[in-house]
Amino acid sequence: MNILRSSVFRSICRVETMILILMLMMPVVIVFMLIGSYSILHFLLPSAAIFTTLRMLMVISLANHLAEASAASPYFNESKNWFLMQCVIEAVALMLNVSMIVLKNTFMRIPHTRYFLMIGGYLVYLVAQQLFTCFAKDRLLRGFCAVWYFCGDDPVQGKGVRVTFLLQIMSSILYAALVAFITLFPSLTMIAYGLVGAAVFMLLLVQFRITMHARKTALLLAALSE
Amino acid sequence: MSAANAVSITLMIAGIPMLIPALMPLFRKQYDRRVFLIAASAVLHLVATLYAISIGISACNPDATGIGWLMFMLSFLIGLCAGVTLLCAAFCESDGKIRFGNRKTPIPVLMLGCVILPVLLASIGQHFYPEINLVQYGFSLSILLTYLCFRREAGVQIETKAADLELRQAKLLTEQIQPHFIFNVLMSIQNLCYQDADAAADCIAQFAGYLRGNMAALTADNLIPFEAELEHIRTYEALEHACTDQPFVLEYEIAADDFEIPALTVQPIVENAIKHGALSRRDGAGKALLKTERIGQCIKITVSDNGNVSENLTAQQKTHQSIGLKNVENRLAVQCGGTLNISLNPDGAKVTILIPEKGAISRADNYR
Repeated sequence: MNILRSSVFRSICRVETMILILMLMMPVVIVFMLIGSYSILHFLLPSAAIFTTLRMLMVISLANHLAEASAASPYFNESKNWFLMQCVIEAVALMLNVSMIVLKNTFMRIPHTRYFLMIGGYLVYLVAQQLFTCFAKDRLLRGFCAVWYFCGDDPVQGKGVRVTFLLQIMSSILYAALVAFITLFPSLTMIAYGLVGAAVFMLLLVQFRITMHARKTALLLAALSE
Repeated sequence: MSAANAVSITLMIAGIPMLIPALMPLFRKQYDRRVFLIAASAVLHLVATLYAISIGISACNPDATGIGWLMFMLSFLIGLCAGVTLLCAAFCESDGKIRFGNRKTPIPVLMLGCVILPVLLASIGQHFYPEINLVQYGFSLSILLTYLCFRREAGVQIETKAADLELRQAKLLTEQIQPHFIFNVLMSIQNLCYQDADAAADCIAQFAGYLRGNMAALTADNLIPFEAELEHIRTYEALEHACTDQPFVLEYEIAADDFEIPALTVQPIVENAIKHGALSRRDGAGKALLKTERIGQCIKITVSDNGNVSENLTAQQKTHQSIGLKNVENRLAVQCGGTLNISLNPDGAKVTILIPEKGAISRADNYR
């Protein structure tokens, strides 16, 4: 067990923090567009595309570190595979996004394609993405638990990990359901935005907790190696 | 032609020179699969761009059915294929295999960023200015950045390989200076000192020459003339004769000697042939043969012996290579594109080295 390499977990912690900072931008952009004079639908597609791409690159970087950490626990390898599956889904969505922009700008109107992509494809993408995220984070948290146990940490501490996972599941369901609702019923109300805000806040909370778990793992390993 | 159309065509034409660096490797003889994939992507994109330019110039309306629509869709699909090819290049590993999971090396995040971000930003630009075709230009930029990123990565790989080669040379030195061999030579010299002082002095000179040859190999970055390696083999043979009472013969059939090889590649094989081949015969008829010949565009070096090879060897044992021979094989491959083949028969072992005649594939070319 190549458990003494705390540097790998420090890298994981760093990437998780960067993802958290990136996710912090999302509610800021939404609020800015709500209070500003810009049309939200005009800016939603490009900002979502940029956000997805940057997050995808971060997740791939995280997968590289998880591959390194897989020597410590096989859960990290499983987590890496689920994260990569999530990236594939996001890449396909991105490619469709770019294709849609090109097609739309050329033909100026593509009602059927657009309708299908927005209503059908987008919902499938959203559910699959949240499902894969849940699987990936579940394995990641189990991996952290395995390392803590190896380091002689109190097993009761695993309770915190279970809370994180429950929050993740709740936020995923809330986020997917609400975004689907907004997509299906574009005549939005401020309440719907508020609920989406709550879901995003929960996602941020989960991300923050995972960052803290990664930090704790790195500290435990550093202490053990000393 | 509208102003937006003119700007689009200008941007597309401006993107074409960006493809030139990625296309250049197609004109070279040696390239690996990643470079080929990037070049293939550039070719596909070039075709798509030319289609798009012709659509722009002829001002065909793609919205209408007919040739304009067909040309646009063709251009779009070719562009899509170019994008997929470029992504494949980003996921291609140095051994030429495209792997997503279970990779030997980390996924190149920077290269992926170079593939995706310019196209994405261009498509977002086009979202705000639908009249101007920015995606073609963005994709040209993607190909250029991906190619530059690949070159940078290849440079790092060359440095890693050079460090690895240095490590191998250091290991080689450790393998060459075998304590028991030194002990045997020194003991033989001690005996000779009592019997024949002149012979002992010659033996010391040869031993010094042998050690100097080994040391020189550590500092030799490039190939050395075969004559120098041959000289080292002769010194080793003389020392082996001085150290062992058992007779053996080393024959030379040198038909070609005007070529270069990596230092200490043939000598360890000759040493193996003598120690484990010729000297394994107890009847004193041990014989080893060093032969060089020119075959087509290659130099063939053969080292064979008539030692006892057990007939009971398993297939695995027959194909087993010692660390020393593995080291030689690796250095031959890295430094001059050579190959090493070993065959064990009941009447002896035979090692064959094949080197391209113009010696001559530089290390950098191997990884370009």
